[in-house]
Amino acid sequence: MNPGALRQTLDTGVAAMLAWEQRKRREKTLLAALAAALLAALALPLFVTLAPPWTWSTPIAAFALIAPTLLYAWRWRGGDTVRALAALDKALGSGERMTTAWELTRRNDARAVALLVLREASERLQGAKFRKLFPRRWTKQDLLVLPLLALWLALSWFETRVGHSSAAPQVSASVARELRDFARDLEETARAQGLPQTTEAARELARLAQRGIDAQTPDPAFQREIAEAQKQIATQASASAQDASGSAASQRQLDELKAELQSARDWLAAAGNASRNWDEVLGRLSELRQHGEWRQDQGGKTLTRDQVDAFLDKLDKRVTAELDRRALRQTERRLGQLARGEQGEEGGTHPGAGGAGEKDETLAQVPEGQPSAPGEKPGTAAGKAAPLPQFSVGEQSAVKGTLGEGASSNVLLKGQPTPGKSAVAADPVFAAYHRRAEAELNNERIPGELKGAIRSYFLSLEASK
Amino acid sequence: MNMPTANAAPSVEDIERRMAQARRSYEALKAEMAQVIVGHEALIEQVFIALACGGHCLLEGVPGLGKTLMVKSLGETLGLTFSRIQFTPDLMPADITGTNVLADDASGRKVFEFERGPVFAHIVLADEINRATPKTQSALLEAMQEASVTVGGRAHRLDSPFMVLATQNPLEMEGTYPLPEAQVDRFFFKLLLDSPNREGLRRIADLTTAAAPDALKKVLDGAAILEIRQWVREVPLAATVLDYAVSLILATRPGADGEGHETELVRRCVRYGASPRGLQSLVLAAKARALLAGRPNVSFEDVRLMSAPSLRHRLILNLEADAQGVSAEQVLADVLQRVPEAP
Repeated sequence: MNPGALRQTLDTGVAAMLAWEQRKRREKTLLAALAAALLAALALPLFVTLAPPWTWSTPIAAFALIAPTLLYAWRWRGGDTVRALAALDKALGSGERMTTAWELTRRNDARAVALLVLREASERLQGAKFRKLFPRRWTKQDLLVLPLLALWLALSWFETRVGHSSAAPQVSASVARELRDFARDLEETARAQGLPQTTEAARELARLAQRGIDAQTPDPAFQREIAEAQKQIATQASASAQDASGSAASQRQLDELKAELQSARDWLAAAGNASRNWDEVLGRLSELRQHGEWRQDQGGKTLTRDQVDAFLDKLDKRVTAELDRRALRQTERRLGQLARGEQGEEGGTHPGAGGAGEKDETLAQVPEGQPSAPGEKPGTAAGKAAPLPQFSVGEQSAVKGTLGEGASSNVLLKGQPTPGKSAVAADPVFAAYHRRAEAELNNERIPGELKGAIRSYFLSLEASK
Repeated sequence: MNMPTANAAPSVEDIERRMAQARRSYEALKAEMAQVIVGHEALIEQVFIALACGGHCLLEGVPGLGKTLMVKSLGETLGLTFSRIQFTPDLMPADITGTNVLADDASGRKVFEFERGPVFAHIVLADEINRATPKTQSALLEAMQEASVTVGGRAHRLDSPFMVLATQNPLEMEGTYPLPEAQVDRFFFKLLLDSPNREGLRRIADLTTAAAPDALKKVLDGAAILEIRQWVREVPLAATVLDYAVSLILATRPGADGEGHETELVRRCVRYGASPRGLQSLVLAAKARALLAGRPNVSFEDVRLMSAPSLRHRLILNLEADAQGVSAEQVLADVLQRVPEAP
């Protein structure tokens, strides 16, 4: 009996058995890691929207993270060797000879009884088929990986094949498309009304929307971008408020005032320096007349043409700034709705149109119980109107005006009717009405089917002129 | 017998020869005792294991099961001196240990001479030990633990091998003095004798009502027993198996097992768990069993099978166990089921 040979036989046999057991352990660990990775890949989309590349790489990334962790946590330890030897003893029916022999060899026990144990253990170990003694046993947890894998593949295939064609765009770029439509309408309307900041903001929004559509940015991510854009718009609106008049006039009054300002310019341009009765003509424009202080005698002198032009320029600049500010505020609100995933409300993309439930800034300044100047109820007596903020047009003109009060705009025609002649020039009247009509058309308060007829009417007038 | 001396380093062949010899001795003893004892094979094996380990046994069983006959037959087959002490309430310690008596020496002077009591024998049967008073019972303590008795300030060594086999009747509690825990703990095994089954009863009737059997042959001697005791201690024990034995001991202690193996039954019914002496008995008995099985090492099964005789009398149950009829065997079975063999 050669103790060295016996020891080698035992070591070789036990090492082979342990290698087999360790291999099975690794396989089970990797299967568990795979199952966990698949579970993570299946569960993650419930909380986070993943872009298409991540859909396929999530289980790989999760596996790469989980597998080393599990391999370390479930690594082979000394206790595992003891358990494996005990199992080997049980399988071989060797009465713990393997366990005892293994320990005795580790202790270098050279007693005769130790050699006897070693010999008997080696004899039993020879020819032992470990793979048959300890075959792989798949538990339910191990087999769980198959249905998980099938489920994940099926879902991935469905998302790839079906989702790209229909579901994905609806989900991933619907907000971007909605923003693009909104931006286009906004730009068109703002350009028509001559609102430079709103026009520029609309272009920026259109570019943002197009980028989202091109990248197929998922809605949640795009909504975050919209929220950022909303902040920028808010900043821009706040900045423009410094230039704006801060008027309490209604949107309608501002629109009409702007149209009248344009009409007045047109008339002045047509009249030239020769005409000196601009005081009278401009006084016929109802909204402009609200700012009629310019007509007051400035030290007994009538305003010169240059002074009138300066007044009109400043007033136009302020009205435009106010309209711009309101349009930006409205745009900001709409962006907020889009960022929150809310549906658009009536009011469309008109820069000055308020959404449902939105309180007009003008109305917000009116004390409760008092009729609001622009929105008072029809048929009720307009009591004492709330004092309205005044335009400050600067020291040069020193013209003060109020906005927001009054009935609908009109043009007063004065003068003795003379057969065959008209005391009122047709051009300013036509221009005023034309702009008013355009403003109304842009406000979308005109039914769509009538817009064409209205445009045709004015075009016919222009043609006949 | 041709046995190697204790000092010579044995070879592997010597070890094999020893194991075969021990096995043969046990088989011969079992066969010889089977002539007069019906059944109780497991009991005979456990008594032999206790003998091989140098321990003492407490036999518990109702009258008429052959306790006394078995012990007497054991003494005969071992070729050892045998004495029987019938314990009664009026039995005095000196009746067991012996006493100094006044005698004349060679010169005619009066001297005290020690008269050895019945404890001076290889095999001592302490019959119905719980009938004697605690004082008398304790007279056996020194003999069992130290293998010596002290009388008149002088210690007297007992013959070796020395083994006490005490019996007690679990039914008759009137006028008895239950053994104190300290004394019970000194018994290596507590063995329970079961009533024989139908076949056993038939054989008992045949054996005891026919012609008297021949005298039992002597199959072992004291020297062989002492050698076997030495071999038992050389049986290797793997640390894993020892850990299992320790875990069993710990699991019998309420609140002492930090490995989560403590059972609900232990928590509820056990007042004190097994002592370290219980672990010694368990390990030694497992080694002896491995030797008798012809195996050079201790297995989990050896520990498992030796746990009941080694530990049952070392578990001190509480009143709730008494009230619910829970026995130490039930507690041990519960512990064996709970404690895993390999860590």
